[in-house]
Amino acid sequence: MAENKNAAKEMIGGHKMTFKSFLLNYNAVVILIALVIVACIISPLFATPQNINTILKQQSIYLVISMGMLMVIITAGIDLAAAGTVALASIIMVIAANQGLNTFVCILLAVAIGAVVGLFNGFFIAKMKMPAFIVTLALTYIAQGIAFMLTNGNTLLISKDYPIYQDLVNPGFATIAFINIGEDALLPLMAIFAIAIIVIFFIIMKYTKFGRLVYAVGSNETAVQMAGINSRAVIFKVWLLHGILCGIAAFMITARTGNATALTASGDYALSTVAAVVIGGASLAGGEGSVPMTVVGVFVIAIIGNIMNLIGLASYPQMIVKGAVIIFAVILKSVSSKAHE
Amino acid sequence: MADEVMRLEMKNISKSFGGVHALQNVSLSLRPGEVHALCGENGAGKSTLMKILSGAYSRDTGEIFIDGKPVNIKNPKDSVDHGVSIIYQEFASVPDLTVAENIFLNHVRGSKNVINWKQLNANAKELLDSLGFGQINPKSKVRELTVAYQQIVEICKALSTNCSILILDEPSAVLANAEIRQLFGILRKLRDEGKSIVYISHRLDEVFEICDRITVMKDGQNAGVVNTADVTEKQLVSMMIGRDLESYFPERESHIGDVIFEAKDIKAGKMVQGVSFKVHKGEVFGLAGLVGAGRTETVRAIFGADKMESGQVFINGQEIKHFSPRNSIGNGYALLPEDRKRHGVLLNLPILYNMTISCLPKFCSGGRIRKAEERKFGDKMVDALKIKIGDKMDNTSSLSGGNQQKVAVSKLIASDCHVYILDEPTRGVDVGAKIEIYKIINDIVAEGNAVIMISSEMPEVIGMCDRVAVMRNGKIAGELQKEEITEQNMIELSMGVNKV
Ligand SMILES: Nc1ncnc2c1ncn2[C@@H]1O[C@H](COP(=O)(O)OP(=O)(O)OP(=O)(O)O)[C@@H](O)[C@H]1O
Ligand SMILES: [Mg+2]
Repeated sequence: MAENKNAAKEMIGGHKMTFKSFLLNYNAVVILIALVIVACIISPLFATPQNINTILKQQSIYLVISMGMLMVIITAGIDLAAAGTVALASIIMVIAANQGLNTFVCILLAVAIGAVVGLFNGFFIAKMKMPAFIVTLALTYIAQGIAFMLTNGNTLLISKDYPIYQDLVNPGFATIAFINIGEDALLPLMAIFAIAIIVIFFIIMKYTKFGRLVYAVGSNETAVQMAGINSRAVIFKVWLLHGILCGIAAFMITARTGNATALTASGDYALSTVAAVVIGGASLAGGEGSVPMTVVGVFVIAIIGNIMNLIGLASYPQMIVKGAVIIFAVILKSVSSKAHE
Repeated sequence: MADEVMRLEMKNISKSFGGVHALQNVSLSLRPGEVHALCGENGAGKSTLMKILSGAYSRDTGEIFIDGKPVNIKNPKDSVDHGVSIIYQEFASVPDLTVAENIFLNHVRGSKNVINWKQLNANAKELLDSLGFGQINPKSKVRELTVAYQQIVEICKALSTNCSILILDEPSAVLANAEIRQLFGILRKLRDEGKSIVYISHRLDEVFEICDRITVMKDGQNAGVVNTADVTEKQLVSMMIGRDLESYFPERESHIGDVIFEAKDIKAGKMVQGVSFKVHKGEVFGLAGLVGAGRTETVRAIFGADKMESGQVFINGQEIKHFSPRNSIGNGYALLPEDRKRHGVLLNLPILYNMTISCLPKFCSGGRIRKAEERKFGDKMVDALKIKIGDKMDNTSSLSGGNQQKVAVSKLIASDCHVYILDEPTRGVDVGAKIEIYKIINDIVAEGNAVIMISSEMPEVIGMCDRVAVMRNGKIAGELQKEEITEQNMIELSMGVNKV
C-alpha cells in the first residue's frame, strides 16, 4: 500500500519534471504558440494568406542567415558583421548585373563574396585565434565603408534591360506562387529555398561528423584537441559556411527588392539572428543550440514584429517590445534550469 | 551518550534530478570532534548529499539540524553562515585569479571595497606556510598550478573561513602520499579543536587511517553507519557494493615484447629536464614520483599538449617529427589527461557523444554518422565500465565524478591506439569500477599494445605495473623491475634517499 503511494508520487513527480524539462528546452515553442494565439485574437488580418506570405518572404532571409549564426554561436563565436557581409555581396551582385552578366554568374558572385568574407573571418578567428567579437566588430566598419564607397550612398537598381531582371525580379523569385490561393501565394519560392537550406543544416548538425564536431568544439575545445581533432579547422569551416550563407541571403534580398543599398549594412540582420538563436535556447558560451529551435526563434521575433505592424504600432516602440521578449525568453530558460536543480 | 548533541543531523533527505532519484531518505549525523567518512560506489549520492548541506542544491524533502537547532539552508551563503565549509569534488576555483585571491575569495566580498594586495598576499603566504605548503607562490595564477596544488589551494580556501563543519569531497584523489600525510596532520588538528569533518574518498586505506566513523551509502540510500574500529576493509567493501570482492588486481600474464615506444632526453619547461624511458609491447609501465616531480608535464610534452623544448620520441623505431595531440594520435599514442574537467570530457555534450568523439570516423560513411552503430558502441562501453547513467543522451555533467572519469576512459580507449598514456586513470573511481579499469588495461596489453600509467596510488602501481620509473625533480631517479616495485623503494627513489 505504502509502496503504491510512493509509486503514484513518483509518477506525479516524474510528470512534473518532464514538464519542467520541456520548458527548459523548448520554452521558445511555448512563446511562439502564445504569440500566434495572441496574433489571431488581436488581428483578423494575421491568419490571411497574404500576411503569411509576407512573413515568409521577409523571414526567408533571416532564416538563412540564422543557420550560419547558429553554427557560429555553437562554437562560442558571434558575427556582428552579418549585415555588412550581406550588403557587400548584394551591392557587388547588382553592379555585376548591370554590366550585363549572366544571372547565374551574378548569383555565384554574391555567394563568392560571402565566402571571401567567411575566409577573412576564418583566417583571423580560427587561425590567428582572435576573438570573433573583435574581428567582426572591425569588419562591420570595413564593410559599411566599402558599401558606401561602391554605391556613393545611392540605391543601385537592377536595370530592366538585363536578363537577370526577368529571371529574378520580375515575375520575381520572391513571389512565384507555389500554392495559389486566389491572388496570393501562400508559399513563396524564396521560402521553399530557405526551407531547403534549413533541412540541409538540420541534417548537417544532427547526422554528420562535422555537425557533431561543431558542438564538441563549442563545448570544450581543449578536450576536443586532446582527442586528436583539428578543432581550428572545424571553426574555420564554420565561418566559411556562414559566409556562404550570408552570400545566399544577399542574393535573396537582391531578388526580392531588385536593388542594392549600403543601408543594408546597418540593418538588423546580425543582431536579429543572434537574438533568434539565443531565444532558441543556444548559449553564447557555446556547445548548445539547435536548428529547429533557431527556426522557432526567428519566427518568435518575426511574429512580434508582425503583430505590431498589424495593430499599427510604430517601429520604435516595436523595438522596445522585441528587446523585452528576448529578455523574457532568456529569463524563462534560466528560471526553468534553476527549478531543475 | 544518548543525549549528546550532534554537531550535524541530516534526516530523511531526498532529492531527484528529473526522473533520477539521487537520494532517498538519507540520514547522516556528525559528532563534534570527529572525522566521519562517507563511502559508497560512484553515483551513490555522496556529493549530492554534501551539496545539499552546502546549499548548492536544494533538497526535495528532509530536515537539517546543526547543534540541535533546525536550519534551513537555501543557498551557499546560508550554509557558510551556519559554519559549513566545503571542498567540492570538481574544483570551484577561479583559474584566472591568483592563489591568494582564490583563497580569500569569500572574504573579498566583505566590507572594504579597496583591496590591500600586500596584506592579502601576506595573509595567503602565512596560511600556506602554516599548513606546510610554503612552496606555493600566492601570486601565481591558479590556472598555472598542477592539479594537486590546485587542490591544496581549495583546501586552504575552505580553511580560511572559520568553520565548524568541514566537508572534503575526494580531496586526496589527486594528491600523492606526502601531501596526503600533510592533509591528515591538518585534519587531526582540526578534529582535536572540536571541528566535525566529513571525508569522502574511494581510497579505503585512508578511510581506515583518518576516520572515526563511516556512513555507507548505496544507490542513493543509507547502507549503514559503523565505527571504523568495528569493521574490516573487506566488510566495508561488501557493504558498499553489496557483494564480496576477491582481489583488487585482476590476474595478468605478462608477455613483454620489443620496444614499442621510446622517449629520449625530453626537456620541457622547468619541470621536465631530460627524461628518457622505453616501453615494450605488452607492458604496463609506471611513472611514479611525488606531486611536482614532473610526471604529468613529461607526458603532456610527449603528447604535444605542451611545448617540448628538446628531445626525441620513437614509436616502433620511427621518430616522431611534429608534436601535437592530433599527430600523436595519428602516430598511435593517446593520453588520458589528468584534469578531467578542463581536458578530458565535454560536459555539456551527451555521454554518448563523448565516448565516440575520438573515433567518429569509425561510425561515419561519407561524413554521415551511423547512429545505430554509435549507440551500440555506447551501450558496450557503459556495460564494460559499469557506468551509472540515466540515459546515454543525458549531458555528461549530470554524472557523478567517478562516472565522468569512466566516460573519459572509454573515450580514450575508443581511439584505437597502440600506446595509451594514462594520467591518474582511476581518479575518483570506486573500488569495483577500478577493477574494471584494470581489466581494460590488461586487455590493452594482452593485445600487444602498451600502457604508460601515472598514478599517485602506490598499491595500484605495485599491483599493475611491470616496470616503474620513479621521477624526482624533472628527471628519472631510477627504474624498478617488477620484483623490486615496493612502496619502500619508490619512496626512497622519489625522495632521493638512495639509489637502487
Ligand atoms: N546535476 C545533476 N543532474 C542530474 N543528475 C545528477 C546531477 N548530479 C548528480 N546526479 C545523479 O545523482 C546520482 C548521485 O550522484 P553523486 O554525484 O552524488 O554521486 P557520488 O556518490 O558523489 O559519486 P562519485 O563517487 O562518482 O563522486 C548519480 O546517479 C548522478 O548521475
Ligand atoms: Mg562525488
